[in-house]
Amino acid sequence: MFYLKEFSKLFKSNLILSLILGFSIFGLVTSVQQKELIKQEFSLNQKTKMVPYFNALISNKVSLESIQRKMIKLPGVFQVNIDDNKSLKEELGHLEKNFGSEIIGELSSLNYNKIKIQLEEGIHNKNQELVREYLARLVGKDSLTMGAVKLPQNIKLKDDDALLVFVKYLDVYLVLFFMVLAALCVFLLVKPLNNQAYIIEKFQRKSRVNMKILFSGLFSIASISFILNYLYRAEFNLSSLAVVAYVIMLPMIFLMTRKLTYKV
Amino acid sequence: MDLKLEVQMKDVFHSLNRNRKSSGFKDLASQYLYHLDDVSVSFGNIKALQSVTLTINPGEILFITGKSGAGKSTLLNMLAGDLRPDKGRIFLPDRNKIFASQVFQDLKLLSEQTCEQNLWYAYDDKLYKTKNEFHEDMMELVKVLGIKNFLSNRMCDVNGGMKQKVALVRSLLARPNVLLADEPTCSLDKDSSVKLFEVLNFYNVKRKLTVVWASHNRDLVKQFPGKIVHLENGKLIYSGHACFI
Repeated sequence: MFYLKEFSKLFKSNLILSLILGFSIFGLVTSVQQKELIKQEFSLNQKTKMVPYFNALISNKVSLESIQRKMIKLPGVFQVNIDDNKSLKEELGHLEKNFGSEIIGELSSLNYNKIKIQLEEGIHNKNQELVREYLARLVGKDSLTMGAVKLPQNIKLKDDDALLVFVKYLDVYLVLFFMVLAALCVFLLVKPLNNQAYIIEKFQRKSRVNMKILFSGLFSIASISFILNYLYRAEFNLSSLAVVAYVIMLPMIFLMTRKLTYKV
Repeated sequence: MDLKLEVQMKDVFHSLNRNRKSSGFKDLASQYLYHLDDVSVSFGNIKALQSVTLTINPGEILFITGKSGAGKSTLLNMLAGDLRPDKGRIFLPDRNKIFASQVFQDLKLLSEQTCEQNLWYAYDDKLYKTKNEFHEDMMELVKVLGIKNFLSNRMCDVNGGMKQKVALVRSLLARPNVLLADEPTCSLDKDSSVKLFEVLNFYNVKRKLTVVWASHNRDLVKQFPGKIVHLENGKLIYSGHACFI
């Protein structure tokens, strides 16, 4: 407890550095404990995956909010987005260049709102049609113009693509990054820590104070990180043991060979 | 409480002064605490200490005098165990029993912390039964040295003399059996220096504290009862009672 109190003093007097150290230890533990979650979150396949969708132009006489409310309740509908008029006019302006001003001019004179309906992933064609029919019944065929269903697009990356390789080993890079960051913070904390420990050793009958202060501090941060991760359904695995070993090693690497001195 | 301690200290100081003048120091020493045998230390080309032979007995007050660069601090650092001699040997018969506390020349106080916080660094739960006991000791000392009103001030906000007193109190609160003080009065006036010596003398008598006091001011330390070791360019020139120097 004494050493932990001394660590808290060190923490307060070197707040930014200590916060970065705490963050790096937490990051290190999390990147090992939540390896699968990180892989899942940063997976390129998932990021590029898009759900099927179709656009529809609906007369502004119809209440869009009510359509949106009803459509979202429908099975197979993932999301319903209403686009504002500004973006619609921009799109019509763009089309006018391609198709000629006569047709588009007529469309522009009508007041329409654009709605984007995103469907669930893997929805069957039959069900897609059912959704579209339901929308037509809701709005009425005269007030509705529907576009075709657009299928999801997947970006195909080569196996040796740098981005793919980077993402594949992201968990490893994260662990390495946090290890280096933690080591750097400890290296920068050595001077104030040694000064504090020197004073304690000179006036109290204690030895290896710097090592004990740093070890108790790092161990506490790592323990809290493990508990938090455990609460978030992480499991204690072999890599976690390696993290514990690294946390134990850090004070030894920086303090073992050095004679305790006071530096101004 | 402080007045009582002050009166007690003065009595001890005067009686000891008389006793020492009549009987000498050898009575106090049964076995030596440190013995330096032909010790030399160099820093590059600079010879900080050259063939110094010296014995320090328990319960002794020893003044190390000499000009700046004479080797006083080197000698103290060696006694503190921070420095090893290049040549010669240091004998410590009761190495495990010795606990030397230091008043550093640069004080080594944590400037962002208050005077009281700095003093609490001397609190050792092996020595004090309760924190209250430590606090009582601390309050007694700060009253005697007149730093009670500055306890809540940050170290960087108090003057040099005050810092020096805080450093001395911190060393004494560690309950050492050897006190190594490097220029403990360099920022103090004569009255404060005498007062500080009275405190050390009190501890020397009551708690058998061995005091090794390094000072460049030979005239000041000559007034106090104790043994003087005079250094010049790292060489021991004189070792004996102050009155014979």
